[in-house]
Amino acid sequence: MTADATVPHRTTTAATPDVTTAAAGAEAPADRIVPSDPAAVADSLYYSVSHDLRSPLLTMSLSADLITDALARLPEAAGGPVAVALDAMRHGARDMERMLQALTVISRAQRRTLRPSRVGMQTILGGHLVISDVARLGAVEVAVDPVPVLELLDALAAGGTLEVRARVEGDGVLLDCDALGAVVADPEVVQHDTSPLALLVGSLQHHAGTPVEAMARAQVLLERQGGAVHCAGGRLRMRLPLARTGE
Amino acid sequence: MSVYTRPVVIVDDNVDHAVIARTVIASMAPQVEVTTLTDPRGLDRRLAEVERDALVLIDRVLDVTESYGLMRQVGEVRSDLRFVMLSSALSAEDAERAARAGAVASAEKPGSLDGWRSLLARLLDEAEAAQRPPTEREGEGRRGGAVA
Repeated sequence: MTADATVPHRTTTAATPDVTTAAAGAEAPADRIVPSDPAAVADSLYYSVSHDLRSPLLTMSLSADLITDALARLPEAAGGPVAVALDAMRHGARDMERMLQALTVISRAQRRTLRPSRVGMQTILGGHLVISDVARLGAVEVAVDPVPVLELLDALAAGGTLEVRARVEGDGVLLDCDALGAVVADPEVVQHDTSPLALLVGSLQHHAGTPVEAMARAQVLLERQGGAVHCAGGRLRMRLPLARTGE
Repeated sequence: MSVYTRPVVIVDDNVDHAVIARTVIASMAPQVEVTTLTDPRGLDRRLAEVERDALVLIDRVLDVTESYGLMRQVGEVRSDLRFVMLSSALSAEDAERAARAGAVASAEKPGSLDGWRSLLARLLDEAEAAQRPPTEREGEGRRGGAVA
């Protein structure tokens, strides 16, 4: 749909600086408290980078789209240097958006409200192919918000059946999945012992928007609950804290 | 093309975003009256004076403050306004807060023009649908059925 220049578009711009007080009833952002420790500063930086930089990026992307739209009406501009430059600008903006989105995912994981509860492993592993020596594994309970775990297992299964090895060790249930080859474009990167979050921040360019991002998000969410997510030998390992008796 | 009759108010302190939204609406529905409010100061007063039954597209953060309280406050005196919260980055929690503050919908600002066209067409369609038939809206509380 294109603009119809023959129909008047009535517009009123009202940006009058005639009132000097802040908007009444407005709320200070609750999550912008000035942090006092390095971890909080890093978290605040995540938030700022992921949220605040998106706004000007959006402006650049949309402006490139608007110019492209206008150029489309000029046949002589097609394929010319301006069109090529705009295309490159748009691709660059989308690449930047993909990387900012990865930071947003991590930032939100750090702030997401979690609802840990006693959850049976049957709930966690239902629908997957489980290999375990633990008697009545389904009845073993862990103390986590199950949603991030289920989301990660679903992401790893990628619509198919996921094979999960499970065992109880110490005060946790260890899950070991051999799904990385199927979901990580370059499995070489997870051959060595590392965490998905370290992989992600090590190369946003390489991993943003890939399953490594989903794993890093799950790592943040599980570590907040006393669990862990780790890559080793090309496999993904997850530790879920056992629910304590009487908990 | 649907015939849109509701006026639109764009509240965004990012002038570029306000202009882009206005440009997209102008290309889709040139007959729609669009007001842009880009100065965060005195918004409670100015929003209370906008046209009746307006669709208000309000940014989540205006200057350094979030706009939930402003939306709630204006909604108390202008129940005819239809608030939709937009943001460059909108989490599920943000959407829930927007709904609690009276927004009928909330959305992340799209990163492409096609995305903007699609979003604004949906919002305008929904605003028109909510307005029909007018007799059924008499005395109807807008905030009863807010959904994100």
